[in-house]
Amino acid sequence: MANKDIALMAHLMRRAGFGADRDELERRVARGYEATVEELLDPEAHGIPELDTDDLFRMTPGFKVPANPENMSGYWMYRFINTPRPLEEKVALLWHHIFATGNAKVASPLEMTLQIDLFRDIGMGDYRTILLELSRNPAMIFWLDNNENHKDAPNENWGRELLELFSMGQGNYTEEDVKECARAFTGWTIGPTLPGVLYNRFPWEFKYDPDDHDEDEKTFLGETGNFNGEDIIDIILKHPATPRFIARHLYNFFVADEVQVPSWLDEPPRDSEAIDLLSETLVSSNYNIRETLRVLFNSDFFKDESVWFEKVKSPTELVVSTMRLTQAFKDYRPGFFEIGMEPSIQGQAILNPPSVEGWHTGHEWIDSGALLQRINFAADRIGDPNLPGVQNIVERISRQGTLSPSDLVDGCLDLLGPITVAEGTRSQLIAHAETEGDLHRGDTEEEHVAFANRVATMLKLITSCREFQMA
Amino acid sequence: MEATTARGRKFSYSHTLGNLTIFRYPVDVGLDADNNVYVVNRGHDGDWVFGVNKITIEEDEIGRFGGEGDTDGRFRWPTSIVIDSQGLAYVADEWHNRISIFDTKVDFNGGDVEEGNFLRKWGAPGSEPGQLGKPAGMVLDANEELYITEQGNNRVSKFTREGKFLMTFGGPGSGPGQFNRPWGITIDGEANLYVADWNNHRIQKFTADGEFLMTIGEPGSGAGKLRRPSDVAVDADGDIYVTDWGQSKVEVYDADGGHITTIYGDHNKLSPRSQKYLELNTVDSEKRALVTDFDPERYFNTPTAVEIDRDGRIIIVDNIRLRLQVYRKEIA
Repeated sequence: MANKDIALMAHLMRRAGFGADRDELERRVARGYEATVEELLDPEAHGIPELDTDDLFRMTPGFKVPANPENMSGYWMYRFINTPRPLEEKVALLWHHIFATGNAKVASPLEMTLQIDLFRDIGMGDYRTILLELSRNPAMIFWLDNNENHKDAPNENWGRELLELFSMGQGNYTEEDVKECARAFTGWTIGPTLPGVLYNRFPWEFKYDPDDHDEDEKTFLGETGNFNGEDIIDIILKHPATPRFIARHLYNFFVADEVQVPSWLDEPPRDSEAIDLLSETLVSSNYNIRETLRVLFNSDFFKDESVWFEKVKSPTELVVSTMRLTQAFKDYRPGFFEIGMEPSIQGQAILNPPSVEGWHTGHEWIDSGALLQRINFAADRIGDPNLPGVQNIVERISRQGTLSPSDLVDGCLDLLGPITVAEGTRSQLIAHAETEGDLHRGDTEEEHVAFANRVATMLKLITSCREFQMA
Repeated sequence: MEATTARGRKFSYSHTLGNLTIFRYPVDVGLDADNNVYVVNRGHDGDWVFGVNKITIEEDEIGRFGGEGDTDGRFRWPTSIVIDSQGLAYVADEWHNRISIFDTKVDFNGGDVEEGNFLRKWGAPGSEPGQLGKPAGMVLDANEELYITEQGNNRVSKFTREGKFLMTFGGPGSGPGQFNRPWGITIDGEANLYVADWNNHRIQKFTADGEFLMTIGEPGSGAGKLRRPSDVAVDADGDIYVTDWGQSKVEVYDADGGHITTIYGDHNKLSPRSQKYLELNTVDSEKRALVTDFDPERYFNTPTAVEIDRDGRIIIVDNIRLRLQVYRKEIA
């Protein structure tokens, strides 16, 4: 099996999922790149089952209707690590990045979970449906105060973010458009819900209150009429800024790190032709996200080696890819609460973003404290020869017979990615390996343990390299 | 609907026990000779309830024991509880694969809480006879010997209270006498056993020696049909109660397995504890005052256990709703 095919598949799986071990990469390469893309895009059609959450809820009932943030993030972490449909989960994370909603204000772990469920369910559908469902999503309504957006006292919070952060981006609308947009969404609210203080959380419900809806004429983006929220979304989708804004988000999330969103007004895209293609696909497919991702993953600009490892792993990606690779939590066991909180320690409190703008990405994930935490987290696990995924790597390396120090380094780099490190880094890794000379598995149990420990130590060292932090 | 009448029986909702302030995802109840109720909580949180509550059937809280952890007297995944005639509590834990024994003389006056009540433990993980693979449900027979369902080993094993292995039956599969992740277990007046065969969507009935007798319920949706039943109880008349975990209802069958009725939950009045909470927390009571539809609060959500107490009350563990709903049966 050609290394290039493996490397390309590994790139796809890092971006359209959370990485894959060598067994999975080989299986996928045997099936083919395009076939893998199709499986990822439409797992239902390819007979890939959903996670059986009944099993999970029997073991941890708190995940079914979470009463606290630990259950909320632990449940999502379980899904991240164990889903056989990684792109669905990745797309849910994408929308959580863009439609960043936080439990700090919503204060209902159940509603937060239901919002992520929504993203998982419709996240690869058409963007009109996504925006419409988002407009009706109780957590979002509460998060952006649309329940306080009344006919006689409009609140512009939702209207402003819909335009600025969720569809067109700054510079493509006026303050008057924001006000008119808000007026069109008056009456889109939440019905009174049983508080969860006695018998756990009950789902909130969207409620349209016609008596509180502003029925007067509105002028929005140059069009005039008695618009309701649905009309506003249709007008937004006709604006040429919208597909470009979404395309740039898709590029930033799946292809290569862009500058931060607030700079998009001034800074041109990293790859204008790619944005053009994605934008055109969005329009021609009626904003179908699945079709747009199909074009993206099959494009030359995505496959090109120049964008490999051009994204800093988000804390969630780092944690999940480490857990999937090591298979430490492949089945259900105590500890998901703690693992679920780990991205937060590294600077990405999933389900609790710093603001509606979400997180700054790319190199802003890294500061000295976060870097140390990221390295320690990965090293503790990838350097543990007792974990099944690490044992698989050790087993593969042992099949190579006696290894020189450079063989050991190259073998570990290959099976952790393949990762290509700077020559200086590789030399240092080899120098470290040379201190103990050539490596062979030996025949005794003691020798096997020593072999596994040397491989695990090398894997651990690689997790501290710059290149390991990249996706 | 506060009462369900069917085939000469009337099932009336009596009252609700507990709420978020004392329970955290309760999974099972045990009853002692004085009809005190012991509630096993499966919830996670260092500073929240995790362990066993001892309360009266009127909701007076007596004490607690156990807690989260790996040391003696603590739990990771507690599943089940029984109380013997000496007032000792046996708690199964399917992570530690052990049975922990506690005295039940608990109160809130100081240190006699959590591991202070722990007496001893037994059980070792594994699939050999006498080892435990995720003990899920327990029942004591007339000789006070323990039958334990093992969801990991797909079997039922019998032990003395001291942990001496006596016998086992079952095995993985979907045929008669086989199990797919069994959960709750009970025993009737004639020493017959009933096992909630969770992933086979049925109840199986056995003799005390493990000989298969019959199946109760069948997979599906609708009246009398089951989806992943979690527990079973039999009352003095031989009527069989099954918590349908997957469809949030309780199915009632006669001794021959004929379907009698379905109960969906009838909670319709706040307990004194809940009323007091709302009196003290005005923000929550004001929010509640705006609500017009209380139906969602009425129904079971993922019930995990059912027990019949000495007075014939039917106690249903309403897991996700963090409470117990209590019913009475009358012969109409």
